[in-house]
Amino acid sequence: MTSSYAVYDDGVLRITSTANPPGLAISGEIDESTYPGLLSALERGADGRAEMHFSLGGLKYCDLAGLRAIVCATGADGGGPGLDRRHGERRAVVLHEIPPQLMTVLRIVGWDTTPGLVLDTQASGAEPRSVGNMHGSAVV
Amino acid sequence: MSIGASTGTFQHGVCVYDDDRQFLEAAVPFLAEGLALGEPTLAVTTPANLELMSAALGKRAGEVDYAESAFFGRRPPQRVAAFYRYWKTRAAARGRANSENGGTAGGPARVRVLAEPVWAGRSAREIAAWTRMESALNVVLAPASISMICPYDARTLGADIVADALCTHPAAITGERLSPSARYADPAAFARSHPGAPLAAPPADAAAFAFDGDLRALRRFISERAAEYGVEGDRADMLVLAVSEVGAYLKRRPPGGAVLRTWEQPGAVVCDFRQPGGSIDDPFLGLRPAELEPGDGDGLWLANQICDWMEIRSGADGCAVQLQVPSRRDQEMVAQPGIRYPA
Repeated sequence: MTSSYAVYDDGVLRITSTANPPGLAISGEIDESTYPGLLSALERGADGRAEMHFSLGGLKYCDLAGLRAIVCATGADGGGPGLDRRHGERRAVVLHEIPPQLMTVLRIVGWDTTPGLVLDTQASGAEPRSVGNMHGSAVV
Repeated sequence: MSIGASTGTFQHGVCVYDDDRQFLEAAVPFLAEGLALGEPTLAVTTPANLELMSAALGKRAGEVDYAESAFFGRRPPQRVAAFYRYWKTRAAARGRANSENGGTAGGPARVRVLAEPVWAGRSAREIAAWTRMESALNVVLAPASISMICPYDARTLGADIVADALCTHPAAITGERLSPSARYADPAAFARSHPGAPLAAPPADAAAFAFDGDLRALRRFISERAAEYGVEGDRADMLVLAVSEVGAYLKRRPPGGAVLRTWEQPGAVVCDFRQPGGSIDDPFLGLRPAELEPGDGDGLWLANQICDWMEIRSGADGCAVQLQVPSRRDQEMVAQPGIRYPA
């Protein structure tokens, strides 16, 4: 990651924008009190991007609504931040450093197979690569 | 008339059988028809019936998806989720294949499921919960194109279980003959008339927390309690998640706050929310599978998937939500990691 800057920080949830790979690093806690901050950061961070990376290693807590917002950055719910709903626009969303609890919830709720969502399950430290396009089952 | 004949809605029939022949006379044509139609076809039953069914189906048996009943959804909420997921994943895959092959149906296709619940060895509380689930399926799976028949073995089951089955299934099947069940009860009415036993009162020495809407404080409390009870690691994280989701749900409902009490009993850590003046009137809350489209009670659904038990009660003096997770003495997850949650 070559550069980063904070796009949201209320002391509980901290979100920084990352340029390479393009996306957001999220740390802290996501619940209904920080949810609006997550949404606004997603809107701004997603703007014009066909691919987004989320680094979740610092995420201490994430409720179901927060996880849904991250997964829906793919546009899988027919919308998604910065996507053209009318044209069914989609993007690739790559999750890195997924906390074990979050992975369990993704599987329980079945969102782990959301089209466009890529789960980087490699050990942290490996350099993430671009997924190219969202249609392949890319390994990053 | 066969149960798979029409499309678009959940169909749910009971087959009470007295011997192997009667089981096969209903199960084999049901499954064979599904295979002939190219429908994803799943048999969830006892190992004995899986063997019988496979022998009777011959070569076609290899095309049937199958699971032992005891392992396809450990508790009723997980069972509902397992049925729903089967429909979502298998039907969607078939819908895609249809559209790619120039077929007419691009949307999710119909699936059929033979689903025999396990009753032997269950406690009265579990039997009540599984019976309520059979009834609730008619509501929570209504959007799913599933044709389901549920075999009930009259040789081994108590008369009350068989009698309830006729109230929880809109149709009854004998061989290939399907008829409406005259005793079918509206699921909401059935839930009201089968409310479950009163919740255990918290013991006097239970730890208490006055939840005023501060979810971070709630999570700190339950996290500390989990450590106190020796519930650690992933199990503690999942308990914190379940408790926080229940707290978030109660916070959104008037009058808002609640009192959480926790204690340990043999086999379980119990988390008991009481909301004086609160009211919960949806008998299917926490059973409707969460989707990407937000729905009321999604957080309670997740808590229900995580916990061994989630009981909701509502009465004149308020409402209560009680959760149970395995205590530190539980050895199942030691013996088979991942048995309670997807690995």
